[in-house]
Order: sequence, then structure tokens, then C-alpha cells
Amino acid sequence: MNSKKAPKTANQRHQRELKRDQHHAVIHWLVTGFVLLVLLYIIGYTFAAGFKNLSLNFFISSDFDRGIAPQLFNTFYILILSMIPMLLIGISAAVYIVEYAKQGTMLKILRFATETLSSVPSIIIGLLGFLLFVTNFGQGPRWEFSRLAGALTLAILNLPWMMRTAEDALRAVPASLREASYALGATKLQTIFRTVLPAAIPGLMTGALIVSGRVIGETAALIYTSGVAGSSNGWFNFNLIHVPGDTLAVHIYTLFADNPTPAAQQGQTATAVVLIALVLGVNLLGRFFERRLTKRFSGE
Amino acid sequence: MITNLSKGRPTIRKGATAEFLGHLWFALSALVVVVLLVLVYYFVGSQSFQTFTQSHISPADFFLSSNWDAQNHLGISYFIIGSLSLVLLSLVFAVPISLAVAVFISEIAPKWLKYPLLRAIELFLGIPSVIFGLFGLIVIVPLIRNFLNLIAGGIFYNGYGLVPAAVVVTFMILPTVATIAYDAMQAVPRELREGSYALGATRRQTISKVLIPAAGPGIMTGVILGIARALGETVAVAFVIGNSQHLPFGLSNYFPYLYIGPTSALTTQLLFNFKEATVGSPLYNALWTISFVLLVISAILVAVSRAFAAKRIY
Repeated sequence: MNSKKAPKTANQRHQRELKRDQHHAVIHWLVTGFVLLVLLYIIGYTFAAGFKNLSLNFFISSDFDRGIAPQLFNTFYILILSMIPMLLIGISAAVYIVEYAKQGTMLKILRFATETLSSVPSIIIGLLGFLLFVTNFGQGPRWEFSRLAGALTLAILNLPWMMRTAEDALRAVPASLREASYALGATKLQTIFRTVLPAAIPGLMTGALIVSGRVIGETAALIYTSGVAGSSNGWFNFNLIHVPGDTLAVHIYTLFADNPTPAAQQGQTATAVVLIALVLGVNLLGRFFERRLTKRFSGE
Repeated sequence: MITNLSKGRPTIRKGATAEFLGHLWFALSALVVVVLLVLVYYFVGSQSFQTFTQSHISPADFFLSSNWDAQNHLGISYFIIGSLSLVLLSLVFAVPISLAVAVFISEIAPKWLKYPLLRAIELFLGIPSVIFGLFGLIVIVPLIRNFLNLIAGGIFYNGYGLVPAAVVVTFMILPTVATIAYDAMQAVPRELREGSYALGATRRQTISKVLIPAAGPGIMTGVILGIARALGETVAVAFVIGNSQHLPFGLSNYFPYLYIGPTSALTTQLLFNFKEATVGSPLYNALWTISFVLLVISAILVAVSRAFAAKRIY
């Protein structure tokens, strides 16, 4: 490396290339190792900082700085509310794309729409949710800051992802299954409901769980739809509208935005631990179903 | 579908209505995503033009002025510069690193390491942005603050600004870019690599002269998706950018003579200002215009990424 002189013989050039090749490999080992270490450090540090602040009281208290009971409830409530329309529309749309649509303009339009919608920044979907659900197109209140408004906004935000994962799940079902169903005289609708969808269930579960992880972790789209209020009095209610409710992710943001006190900072890292555990748990469960799906169709 | 004419009167074959209704339901569900896209563009677009029609701000002043005062004057040029420099700096960090990771997993890693590594990187796709923001706030910002003040020999920097935001965004878009680049490299046929090795090329030469050019368009779609994510990222950036109406960088009296203090991006302006905006006020309209700017840029990015995807050979 220290001599910049060009090597004279072919053998010297070859030796130089071999050396460069070794350096190249070492650099890639180091960079990948560094990236992995940093990513693990992000999770490890948050756990180390937050774990000591966790207590049973933290899970059942509705005090804004010291507990996350309302936030836990709201997270799951909004998750379920948003998954219902998303699963229904997302899977149906994927069925259309995989089973009905022919190559052509319609499919191109659908591809364009899903790609473009999934690239819209989540804060903008949040503002749209504010316009459509929180206010009546900006003219007076509709549902105000509410968990239904937040859930529907998240459904809009994640529909393209749900469609994509559902499409993957349906495409993974072998064509031979459909052909067998048709050969038995089944109609298209019977084939879809009795053969394709049941066979795709593990894949659909994977998709639904990965999207659930995104819903649980979303913040920007919720701040102006389900609101940032702690809703400490009477949080355990199922009111869809007029009652705001912050999720765990929004709670972390709110504790940052409202001049953090030391107690709030402790609550922040502790909430982060719960949030990471939830999201990673959901994603790992999704991977588990994915493996079951490949096992089923590869016959191992 | 009308088949049974035996009784002289057409009757619909059993189940045909159900078949038709099923088809209709699935087709309408697929159309929902198109309707939503039109809704997003219609509402954001129509609201955004009120800055120029209702609030009577000239477009030139709005986009070129740097003076942002919620009550009197609205100019967003600093926020545009903030967002663009954030995207650029994140790319400078993220593209080489994620390419290296993709090359490593695809070409260099031993077989037993490949799959777990890929799974680990994919798992980080799911980590919420608020976690990255919090990490930036409690780790990256103090780190940069201490480092800058150490080399400047005093307390001149509070650590917030463009650099921590770019670091945070880098780690957020890295898994996206790396996994897409990895997929593009895997799609390059074996024969190309074998041809290169047969000509006596080393692995380094094969990777840089054959593999990366062949996977180029696929890698670019990943990079552009990364740009879109960096541009639209809100909460993680809001934690560390400092939220002030300054250029992201400038000259400073103190070493390293480069001011890199608190600044703003388009998305964080939306986040911080929307709660104070009353409906119909110039501020409210201006925030919708900012949204529309973001919307248009992300639509252009999608178009560019589709152009690269169309150029893919493998």
C-alpha cells in the first residue's frame, strides 16, 4: 500500500489484486458488523435505560408521567379498529389482483395507486385524517380527536402494505390447488373461499402481523387524529368518537414535546421498552407463520 | 349467465348472481386504493392553493422567502433547504453503508451467516420511528454536543440540528435500501459472475465491475425509496432537529467554523405548527401548501423509481 509505483510484471499486478481483494472483504465484514452493532445498541440501550423504570404500577397507573394503562388500552383498541377495515378491503383487493385482474390497464392503475399511496408521508395522511374525520372538511367538528378517526387514518396509511402482503400470500398458493378445485366442478367464488383463502391463511397472518407492527409503531399520523391527550379520567371506555386517546408511540412523543421532567424521561424510556417488545413480538410471530407457510407448500 | 331456457322463460343459473356479486365486491375493494389516492391529492391540492387565492401570498414570495412568522409573513425556503440537505446528508451516509451490507450478505458472508443476518436486518424495518427519535435524543445529540464542544473548546453547540437528524434517518433507511439492493444482487444470474471469474477477475473486481452495474437499476429503486422515506420522516427527525428558523448550516466564529445548530425540515414544520393553526388562517393554508410540496416531490420520486424498475434487466 505504501508504494504508489505501478507494478511491473503481471505477477506483481496479480499479487496486488489479491491483496486488494482481501482488503475489500475485510472492509465489508467490518461495515456490516458495525451496522449490526449499532442497530443492536439502539435496542439494547433503550432496554437498559428503560427496564429499571418498569414496574407493575407502571402498567396499571393512568398517571401521565408514571403509567401507561390508558396508552396500552388505546394501542390495542386502535389496532383492532384499524385492522378490521384494512383486512377486509386489503385481502379482497388482493383477491381481485391475483384471481380476477388480467394483465392490462386496470392492473397498471392499481400498481401505480398502491405504490404512490404508500409513498405519501404519514404526517400528510394524518392531516388528511384531521380534515376528513376530526373536522367536517375543516368546517366545524365531526368526530373531534377520537380513536375512530385515528384508526381510520391508520387504515388508509397501511392499506397499500396490507394489499402487498396479502398479494404475496395469495400468490404463494400453488396453481395446482386452484386447478384441482376447478376440476372438481367448483366455481371461481367457491375456489376462492374454500381453497385459495384457507390455504393462504398462514401467509395472510404473516402480512397482518407485519402490518400490525406498523400500526402499533405509527406516531405522525395519529398526533392530529386520535390526539395526544392522556385521557386519564375514564380512559377505559370504548367510545369511538369525541374521546381522544394516545397510543404508546404517541405517548413517547408527547412526553418529549411537553417540556420533559425527569419523571417524564423515565416514563419515556420505560414506554419505549414496552413498545419495542410489542413490535418485535408481533414481527417475530409473523416470521413464525411465514416459516409454517413455506413448510406446508414445500412439503418438508 | 342466462343459460336455462327449457321453460321458455330465462332463469339465472344457480350461483351466477353470487359469482357476479363476488366479482363486483373484489373489484370495488381494489378500487378503494385508487379512490383514496385521488382523495389525498384532491383535498391536499385544493387546500394548498388557498395560500395563493385566499391568503394572497405570491408563490415566489412563499417559496423563496426565508422569513417564517406565523402572524405576519410566511416563507418556506429555509425548510425546503433543510429537508433537501437532510435527504442529501442521509444519502451520503446511508448509500455506501447499505451497499456494503448488501454486498456482504449477497457475496461475501459465509452461508451460515447469510440467512440470520438478512432476518436481523429485516427485523429493524419494523422498529417504530419514535424509537429511533428517542435514541437520537438521548444518545446521538449528547454525543455530537460533547464532540463539537470538545473540539471547539467551549459550549457553543447544543447538539441538535442537521447532523443528528441525518444520523437517525440513516439508520432508519439503511435496512430498506440494503434489503432492496440485496434482492437486486440476488437477481443477477450466476453466469455473469462465473464469466467474470473465468476471465481471471478477483471477487472485488467481479463485484464492482459486473455485479453492481448489473444490479444498478434495482439498487437505484431502493435508493429512491430511501429518499422518499428520508423526506417524509417526521417524528424521528422532530426529536433531534432542534426546531428553529435557521439554515441547517452556515459560518460560525468557533471551530470548526461551520454552524450546524438547530434547524427545521418541511415535515417537522407541519408537526410543530399544525396545532396552532386555526382553520382558514394564512398559517393553516401555508401548512397545506407545504404538504402539497411534499406530496408532489414523493410522486416524482415514485415516477423515477418506476423508471428505474422498468430499466431492470434481471
